[in-house]
Amino acid sequence: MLAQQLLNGLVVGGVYALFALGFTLVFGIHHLMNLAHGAVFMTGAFVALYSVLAGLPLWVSFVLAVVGCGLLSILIEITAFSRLRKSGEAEFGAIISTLGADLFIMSFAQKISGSDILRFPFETFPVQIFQFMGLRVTLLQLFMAGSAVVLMLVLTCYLFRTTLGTRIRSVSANERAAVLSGVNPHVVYYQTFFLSGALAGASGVLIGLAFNSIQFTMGEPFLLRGFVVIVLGGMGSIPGAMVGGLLLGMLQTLTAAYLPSGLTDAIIFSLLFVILLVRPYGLFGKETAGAMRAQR
Amino acid sequence: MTHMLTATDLSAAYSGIHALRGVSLAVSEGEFVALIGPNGAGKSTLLNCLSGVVRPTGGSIRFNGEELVGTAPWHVSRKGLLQVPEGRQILANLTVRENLELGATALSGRHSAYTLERINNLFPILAERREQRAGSLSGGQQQMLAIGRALMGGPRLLLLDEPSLGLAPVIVVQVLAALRSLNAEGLTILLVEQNARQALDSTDRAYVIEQGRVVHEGVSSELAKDPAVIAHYLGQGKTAKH
Ligand SMILES: Nc1ncnc2c1ncn2[C@@H]1O[C@H](COP(=O)(O)OP(=O)(O)OP(=O)(O)O)[C@@H](O)[C@H]1O
Ligand SMILES: [Mg+2]
Repeated sequence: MLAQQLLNGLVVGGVYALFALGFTLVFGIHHLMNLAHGAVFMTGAFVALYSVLAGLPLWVSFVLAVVGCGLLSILIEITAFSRLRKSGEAEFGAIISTLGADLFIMSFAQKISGSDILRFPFETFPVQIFQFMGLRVTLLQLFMAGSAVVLMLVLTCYLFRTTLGTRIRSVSANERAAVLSGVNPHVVYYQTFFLSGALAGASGVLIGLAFNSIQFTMGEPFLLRGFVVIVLGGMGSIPGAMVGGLLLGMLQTLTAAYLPSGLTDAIIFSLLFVILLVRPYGLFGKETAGAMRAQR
Repeated sequence: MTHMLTATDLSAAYSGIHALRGVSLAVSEGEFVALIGPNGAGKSTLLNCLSGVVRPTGGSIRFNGEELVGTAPWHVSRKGLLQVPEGRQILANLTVRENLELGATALSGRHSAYTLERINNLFPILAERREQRAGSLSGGQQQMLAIGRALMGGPRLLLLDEPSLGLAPVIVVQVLAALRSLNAEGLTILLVEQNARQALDSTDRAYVIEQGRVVHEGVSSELAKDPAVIAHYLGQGKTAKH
């Protein structure tokens, strides 16, 4: 029934939003696209899975995955971005270098796992089902939705309510002015990449748990979806990534439930096309942001 | 006399094109010094060398006895050598309060005489517009914010790059008055201006630079009487920039 599907879509969409938020964060703040973001997502699922298999409790594995992916993302910044930035070639160069990082991480994961689909052991996450006003909600769904909400709140507060967040936003708006005010931009880069990677890692674990099918290629379709979400929401827009993620999640669940299975992507991309015709800068995007980019 | 800031034989270039060709300049504690010169003379380049944003190709910069060449700009700011950049460079999408908070980054634990309260007394408009987007301020208010932001960083030496640029004359007078009162209370200032008359009227000493070289220097009131300076900088219809 419709309400049930909407609920399921909302939960998955929340996780899409987390993933896309990490992607859009780096783009919005540093104007750089990290094409290895999907690989970081996959790494999150892998770290959690192998930690659970090694006997660690799920919550420890979750934390390890989130922190580990944050650090991995910093490593990507150091290896794939920072040198290019110095040479002033970051915008196009980084597409190649992060694609390289993506392939590197994926091959590494393939070496570890083979090409098998891996699964969390049965009942890694306690199976518990609640009935609520005729809707069926699992404990895992509650956990996913809760994590998405909490992480988004934490991120928003960090960016908009703390001094460190002010520094991040100032580097984003005008790096020269921030530097003259005493801000070390490298510290800011490390912070945004950490946050971005941590969000990817968290969404990787959640999706891994939800669909229980973990493979070294699992990040690729997500990168594409992440892309749809941020184009839909507006490149670099934080509320855009949140709303875009939720929309995509619901859309995907609904089309999968009511239409022939092959049509999902066709519908999503047609809709994206229509939205971009009407609003070329996305739902929350600002025209000025694009204009500013064009000038640089 | 020991100087707070000494730049010796500074040169700088942008991809091979010389912008500074051996500039020497000194500022003592408590002084109010002007740096004037035409478009493209190298004034901003000089300030940016001092701030560490542009790396000089030669020469030395000593600030309170410490060599600055090669120091990252955020470290220079944290030592109390703060710049109010050309064009103000306030963060339009952040609030006035956030812009000021950002300025405090340069303090990094140092003690500062410039409390938020003192800055609000100097520029009451900043207190009134505290929670507004900085981009919604008028040009003059934005300049006050840019100065306030630098003051939040506890300057020992304040560099200003053409603070009067694009401002109405009556606002320029206000901004210069604020700078004079800051200087009277002990702040050392190096002011870059194209508006030579007003700069010379406000300051103790001045340097005139042209094509990357210092061509005149001396006591401001005397330079203002120097026929060569008058002919080039204080005549009518000069300094057409906009
Ligand atoms: N980023 C840059 N890249 C290349 N050349 C530059 C750059 N910045 C300045 N220049 C050149 O260096 C010279 C000095 O410029 P600078 O901006 O220091 O002059 P200025 O005295 O501040 O001029 P204005 O009064 O117009 O601000 C000029 O010839 C200018 O064209
Ligand atoms: Mg200039």
